[in-house]
Amino acid sequence: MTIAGTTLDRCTRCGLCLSSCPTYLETRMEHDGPRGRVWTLLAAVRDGDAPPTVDPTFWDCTGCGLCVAPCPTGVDLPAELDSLWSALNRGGPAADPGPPQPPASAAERGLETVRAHAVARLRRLDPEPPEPTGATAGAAPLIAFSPYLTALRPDAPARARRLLTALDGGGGPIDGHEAWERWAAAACGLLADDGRPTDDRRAVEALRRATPGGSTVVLLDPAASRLAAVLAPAGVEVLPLPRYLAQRHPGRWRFEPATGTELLDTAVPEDDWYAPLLDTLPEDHPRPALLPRRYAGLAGRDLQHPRTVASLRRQAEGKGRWLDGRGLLTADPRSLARHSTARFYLEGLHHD
Amino acid sequence: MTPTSRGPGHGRLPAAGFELCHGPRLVGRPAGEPARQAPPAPGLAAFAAEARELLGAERVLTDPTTLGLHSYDASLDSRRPDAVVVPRSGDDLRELVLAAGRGSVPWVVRGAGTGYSGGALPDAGGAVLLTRDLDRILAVDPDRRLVRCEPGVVLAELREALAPYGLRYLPDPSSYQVCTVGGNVAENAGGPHALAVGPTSNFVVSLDVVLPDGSAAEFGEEDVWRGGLDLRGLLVGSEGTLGAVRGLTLRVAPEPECSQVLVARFDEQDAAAATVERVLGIGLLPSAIDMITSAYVPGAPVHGDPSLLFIEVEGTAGEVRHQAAALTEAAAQAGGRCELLSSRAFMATRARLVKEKVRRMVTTSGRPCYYLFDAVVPRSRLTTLMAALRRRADQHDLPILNTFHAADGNVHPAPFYDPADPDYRTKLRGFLADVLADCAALDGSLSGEHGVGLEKAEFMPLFHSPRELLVMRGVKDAFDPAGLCNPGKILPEPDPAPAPQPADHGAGPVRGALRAGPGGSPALRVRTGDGAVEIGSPEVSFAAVAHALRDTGLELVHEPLGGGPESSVLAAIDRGRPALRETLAVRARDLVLSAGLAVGRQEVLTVGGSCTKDVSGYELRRLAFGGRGRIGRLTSVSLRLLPSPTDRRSLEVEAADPGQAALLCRELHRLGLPFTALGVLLDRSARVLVSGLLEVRGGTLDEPAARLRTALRHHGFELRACWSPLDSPAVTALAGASDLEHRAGQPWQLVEVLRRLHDTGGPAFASVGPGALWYPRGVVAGPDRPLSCGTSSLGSRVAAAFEV
Repeated sequence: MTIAGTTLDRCTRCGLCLSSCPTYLETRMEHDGPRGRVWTLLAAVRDGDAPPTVDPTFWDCTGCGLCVAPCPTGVDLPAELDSLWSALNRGGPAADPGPPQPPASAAERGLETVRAHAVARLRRLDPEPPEPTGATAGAAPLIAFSPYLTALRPDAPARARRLLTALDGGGGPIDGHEAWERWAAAACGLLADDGRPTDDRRAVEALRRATPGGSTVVLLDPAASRLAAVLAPAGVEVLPLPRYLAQRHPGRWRFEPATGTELLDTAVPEDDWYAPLLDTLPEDHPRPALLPRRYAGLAGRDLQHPRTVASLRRQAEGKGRWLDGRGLLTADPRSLARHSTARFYLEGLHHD
Repeated sequence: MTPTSRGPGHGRLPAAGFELCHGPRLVGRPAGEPARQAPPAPGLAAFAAEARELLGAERVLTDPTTLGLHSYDASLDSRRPDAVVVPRSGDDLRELVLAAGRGSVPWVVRGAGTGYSGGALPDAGGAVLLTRDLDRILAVDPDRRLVRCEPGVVLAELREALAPYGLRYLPDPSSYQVCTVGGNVAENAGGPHALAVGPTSNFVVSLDVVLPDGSAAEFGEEDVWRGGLDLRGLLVGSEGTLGAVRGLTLRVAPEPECSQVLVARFDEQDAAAATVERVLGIGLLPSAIDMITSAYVPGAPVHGDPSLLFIEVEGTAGEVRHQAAALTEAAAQAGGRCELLSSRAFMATRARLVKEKVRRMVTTSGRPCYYLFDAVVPRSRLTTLMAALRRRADQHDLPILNTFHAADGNVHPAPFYDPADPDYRTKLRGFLADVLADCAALDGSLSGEHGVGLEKAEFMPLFHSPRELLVMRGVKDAFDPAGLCNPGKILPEPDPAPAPQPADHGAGPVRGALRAGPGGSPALRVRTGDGAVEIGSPEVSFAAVAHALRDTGLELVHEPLGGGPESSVLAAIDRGRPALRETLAVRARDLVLSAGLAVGRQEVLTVGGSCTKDVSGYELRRLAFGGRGRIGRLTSVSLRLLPSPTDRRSLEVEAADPGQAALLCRELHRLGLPFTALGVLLDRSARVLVSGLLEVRGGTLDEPAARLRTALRHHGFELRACWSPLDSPAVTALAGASDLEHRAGQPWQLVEVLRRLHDTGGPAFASVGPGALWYPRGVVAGPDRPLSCGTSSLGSRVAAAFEV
């Protein structure tokens, strides 16, 4: 393990990340904050320890990424943990001790099933994805979404496609887009999280080759956010759907949240998934409130270290209790599975 | 009081280490040396066993990772503890201090660990005591505007808890989202808002402290008026070296009706700095003036990186409108490109602008990390220091940004470095040493808000005379003779030696030398550019100071109750006379910047300095207020000045009886008008009056006066009379009282006492705001309460420390 090329040694220990970290807010112990996790990793590097042999609390990181924005020097802890996990699993499924405990709640069991099915399906993909014809700069965008969305809202991609076709002036379906979308789902990170870095690398490299430079990819859910990093080297613009709509089609669409929507599934006021939606609401329309930060850390990568899983579950349960039946507007299909009162944003989107 | 609770305590703790183990030393810095560690104290094992007995094993952590994780803060230093202990309550804290004393184990209390000077690092090893679970907000008293809480409460949570009452706690260090109240008290934290309202110390009403010998003590702001020394003021900013705070009462303020922030972008640093002078020159007192300079990269001019000025104004809508217009005009005249934002929108904008700046600097300079420290110069020397910083950056080849609280002269130079550079620490220390030498030469202070800690202890002799350092050492010994409470901080080791002269500032006087020059201080000197007045003779009266300030646009906000225009300023400070306008956050006691003390036949000892923000070492100057000769004869003081009001109206309303007057006071208080004095006055003719003073710094009082008239008309009263603060009926009524008796509470809480005083025919003033009733001691038969409690034995030991 080395720190060369990582952002870890930029940490100046200022602690400005602490207040954004859901696991630190849970315990207020240094072990559970980004600053402590960075320190632990650096100490392990210096002492030549393999990370699992030092204090493993850094695997409690949910990967939500909320610590990245406040960091003045740009330390990206979730990305570093992500690559560390990949490195640990290189050459096969996780060598780490012990499977996670079975989930207690039905929602978590459901998500486990979704994940297992998705991984099995993604591994069967063959051969290379075709390059979608008609997907070039200025044309209708490609859409991408995570395997969770396919499993939990199978009709969502078609709905998004209809909306975009209407706004972007038609042109009909792009040839080869469905195969491309399946490969995009494979490159969302689930394979890596499941300890299958070889399959993951194959998906990522194939998707890069198949995506024309200068094209635009619109994400339908934040569980597909990894594609921004995957496609950056290919010169592709990747935007969340709400941000895309606000930038390209201002005034031509509207958002009507389901009645009883009291809360947003984020703690960040300027969140790209939600802020563009709220901006379209009339002045007098009641505005859903932000989540407290301690319940906003569940939208990250699914690092499959047993501790990460346990940490995510603990927080999901806490959030469920705190919601207490209040309506939650979410873009994340995993929240749809976890919270019965969650409403998917795409269902409130309409074109004028 | 309304109790509030945060509900059940925090969740799990990390797995405990059951053995005391000293595993591999872990780094506090990525490429730096390992955390230093002192050999463990012999009594450590017994202490740990006692702690486990008390708290359970899961709250006494000794595994290498936990020790490593508590070996750092935001400073460059790291020190490894031998044990990390998590008490559940203030009582636990006291038991732990007692146990540490029995085992001679050094200990330090730690909050969030976001300090910049190493204040919470265990220099001598031993125990780190976490305030994590001392996090209850015990009570909010909206009537007296007080909040009582424990030291582990996070500032952001305090804000949240106060918001429903329309109240706020004003000190706002940049880490407020995560830092704790206890850490703020230890360091006397400031932040942008310290400009108008002062640092944490101004807001601390009382402290419940576990002293290093394990005894419990309560220090309050009333101590001064009950015959004690202001040990509360000494404790705040003592960096956790004099005891462990386990509970505190803080003063809070109402949310302003309106607030706005001017963001101005300048191409030149100096134009931005000149705007600060201009703003203060036209009599505005913004709530905050912060500046971030353009990037400075030695040998590589940076284009397109503006200097940013942020100025916040608060008050009534009319006040803010007027002040924002005046600010915009001043900034635009200096070439600034201006934008007005609401305070809420500003927070996001500021975060974005700062991050853009840092990222731009990282890209331009290729150095990804920065080191941040603070230092202070008197405001008038700010541009000189800014030029010096650029020179030092060239000399050390360090790109710098500088973010600072401009109107307080409190700079935060941030040199950028590459952690892969093996020499980066040496370079940064060299830069720090040179910049601090520059500040010393400019009569500055070692720190305005970060504290001295480990980071700057070696530089103390640059800023303090050997004798002042000896007094500080004596103070530390008075509280902590065993030296177990956060040892190794503030004071340099070995004991103070003569100050080294700054390397290349032969011409510049060292701080202290300037103040104690031959011939002593002048009788009366106004430092207009720094907003301060120096008084060097007991002959100087308040009227003389007012006369000297008449054309400066500045005023001394102190009208001594019990004194009058002709009374001596030095005597009023020495007696700890309260001021009329104590409704302002900066109160009479908070005005003292430095004090000259004659002890025995020795040369005068000067404590404090020339800066409006100064937390360098123990704040000995705070003991001068109400010192009553016990720490030495007060021979001189330097006092902070505020801009004179641009409009002032006074109110005098006669009421039928104290009850009616108190109720009217409450009603007026709740109107939220800019009263700087308001209270029930029983004058010498046995009249019952509601007496008040409305003031505004920038704009006029037409709108508040209209609201006041409406409110009074409803009560069948009228607005009458007009006086200057020094000639106010309250000051006049109490003039000549050698000593004042004091009771805490708002007038409407003290109606019974007021009635009894009224019956005796004596004068009294019950002031809203700080909530205090004043009446002459001995002149009237006071209601039943203990008189002076005298000087405590601790106070006597502290006073004795001055006899060096």
